[in-house]
Amino acid sequence: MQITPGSSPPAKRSGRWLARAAFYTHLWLGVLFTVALLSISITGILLNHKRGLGLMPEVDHEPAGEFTTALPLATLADRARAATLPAIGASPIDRMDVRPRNGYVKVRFRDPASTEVTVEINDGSVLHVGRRGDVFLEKLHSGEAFGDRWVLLSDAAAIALTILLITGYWLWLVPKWRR
Amino acid sequence: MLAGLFGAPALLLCAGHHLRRKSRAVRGAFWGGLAGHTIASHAAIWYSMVPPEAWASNDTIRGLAGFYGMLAGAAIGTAVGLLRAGRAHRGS
Repeated sequence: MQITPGSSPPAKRSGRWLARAAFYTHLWLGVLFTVALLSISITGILLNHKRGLGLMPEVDHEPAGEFTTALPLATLADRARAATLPAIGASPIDRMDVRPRNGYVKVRFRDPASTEVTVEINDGSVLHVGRRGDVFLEKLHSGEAFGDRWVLLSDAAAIALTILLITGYWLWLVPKWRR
Repeated sequence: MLAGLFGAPALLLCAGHHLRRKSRAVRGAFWGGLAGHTIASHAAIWYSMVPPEAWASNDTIRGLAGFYGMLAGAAIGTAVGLLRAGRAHRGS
């Protein structure tokens, strides 16, 4: 192809077009996803330090007996229910997290505060009762706090962040490499 | 909420394109909208962190700030920016 004076070669033009596309993609995604990414980042930092911030109760405990002599789950659930306020005890159990190494089970209720009762698995004594502040933060982090389909917003933000990284590197390194 | 989260920044981005070449009113609206949206988005993030056990049926501010605040903030900021631009124009 003949290159006329004043016009740039096709390779240079396509490079310029790519740089322009990278710039506008970086700009638009950066602006549109600022609030979503800020929210995900803040909740992520809080979740990383949930123990230090007291959002998740930390119970130091040594097992009182062998795991084979542990009380049945239904009994442990009843003990946990009895340790809470009647309003919380009336709400259904969300999950039971058994920790044989620590000798306890964490019984979490499906109440607004996500109350969790830590019960010794061998003698059924209540070790701790407290709220799990990280449950709501986790839902906020994933977008689930607004509804099941809102996880797509979190997915979109993650994809946007990846594209922002790629376009950012492109805009930084390609002009240097071309020189 | 989505309109405030994505719609308002998209409109601001469009308005901010070649801003120097635009009229004083558009520039005023842009800066006002940007300031309004920034303040409102910070409030929305803050209110979204309120744990569910602290929610009450009558706490309208939390719902308003979280769901409509960003759109309302951008709209109010734009209006204030337009008014200020108009006043400055009449004053000069």
